[in-house]
Amino acid sequence: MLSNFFGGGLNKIIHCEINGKETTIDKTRVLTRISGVVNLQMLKNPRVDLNQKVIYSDSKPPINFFIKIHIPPDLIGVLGELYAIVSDEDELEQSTHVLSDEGINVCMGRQLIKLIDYIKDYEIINFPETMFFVSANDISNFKIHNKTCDNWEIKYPSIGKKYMIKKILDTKITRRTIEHPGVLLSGYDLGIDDCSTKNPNGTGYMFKTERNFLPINFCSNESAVDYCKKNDSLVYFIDFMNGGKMRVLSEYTESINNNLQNHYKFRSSNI
Amino acid sequence: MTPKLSTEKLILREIKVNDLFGIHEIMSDDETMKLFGGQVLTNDLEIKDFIQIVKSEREDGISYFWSIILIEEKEFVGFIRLKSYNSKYYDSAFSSIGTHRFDNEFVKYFDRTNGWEIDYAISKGQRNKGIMREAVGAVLEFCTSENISPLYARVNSMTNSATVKILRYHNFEDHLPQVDPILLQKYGAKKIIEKNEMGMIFKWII
Repeated sequence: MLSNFFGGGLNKIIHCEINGKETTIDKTRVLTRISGVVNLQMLKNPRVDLNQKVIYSDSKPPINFFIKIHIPPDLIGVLGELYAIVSDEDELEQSTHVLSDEGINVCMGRQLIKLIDYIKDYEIINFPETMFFVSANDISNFKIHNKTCDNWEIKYPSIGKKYMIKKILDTKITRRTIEHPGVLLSGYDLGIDDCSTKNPNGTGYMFKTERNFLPINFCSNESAVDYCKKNDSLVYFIDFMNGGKMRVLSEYTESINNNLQNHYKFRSSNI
Repeated sequence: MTPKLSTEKLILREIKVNDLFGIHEIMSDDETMKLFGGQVLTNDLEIKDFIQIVKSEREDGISYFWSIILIEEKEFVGFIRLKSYNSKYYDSAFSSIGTHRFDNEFVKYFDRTNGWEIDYAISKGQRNKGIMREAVGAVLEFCTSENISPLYARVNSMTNSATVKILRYHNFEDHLPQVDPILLQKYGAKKIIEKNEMGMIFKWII
């Protein structure tokens, strides 16, 4: 069983990054940034060659695709089958995130709903360069590496380097309000807070850090946050669940997400 | 879309999200940024929207940005970009000389309609390996095929001999000497020339 192979039987708890419910490391999914989708229902007599990853039809020349899009069951009737295309198959933009079966449906549903207005008109929908659209798929579709988490020492599936750390040199904690978000003090590298409409009076955290990033292997955000607590560090990564932005985890991540009333308590903070 | 270019050892391709850490390394290094002629990053916030900005400038047609990747190691080592002078970039590029940048006497040296500026940076550990010479060559080939000309290259100090050598190798010509106003105030013109501390705007045409 995958969960045992990847250390899921050990006493380390991880959660779905969408709904925050407990899950296992074998629910790690590969998220790939895609540049568009092929809309099968608009093609005349389509034939999909899954081995060669080509779609043949009577209305278009053969179209290469990267992977079949995971469509949540309640959207299949509207969207039919969609196939992802990428701009550069030689060097994919990919990351891994932990998503339960329910989580992957929500993750894809939130994005795919934006296509509904176009689905009846276009055979291929290309996204603007500035749009960050991902396809979340099961790891069994990819060549994954079996890595060991540098903190929890459990095996986990990886698609490549993800997390970076920086040692904290100084921390400043201040009161913040949603009206007065505060400014980053000179000499500090990073500021995060837990203010939102749900938590108008919150806390701000500013960090002075070492200059350089160091790569490190973590199986999950949970392990990364645990590492932050034990090592006075910040963990940075490109968060494919949040627009492909550079975001950060810290020892305060759980507290921040509690105050923001997020289901997932290990969600990264915007910087 | 930024076209993919390739040479014997390099791939020059569009920026990707994971390049951000490599770009951070370059832009937070004092020595590299002195050679590049830009501000050193003072905090992490300054880079967080970098990729979005690059992509939207490409969509607006005012810049090209290539990440430089070593083919064999598949490693990001630097970047090279073109910025149109027919955009607000011209204003920011010459902001250090104040309103003089709009004087006819100065503007006549530049083709603000068709001119582009080329600049580039490489991570510390990859200097002096001929990488940038190869990368600049690939971009100039692209410019020739796309009829992008003239190109200007600003070099802050002629003591940056590596860059001067690359530009001269690729037939960039001395176009307009530059003097850093802060250095001028501090040392005076004579000393700057003696120490070869003056800069140069180079020009390349197809």
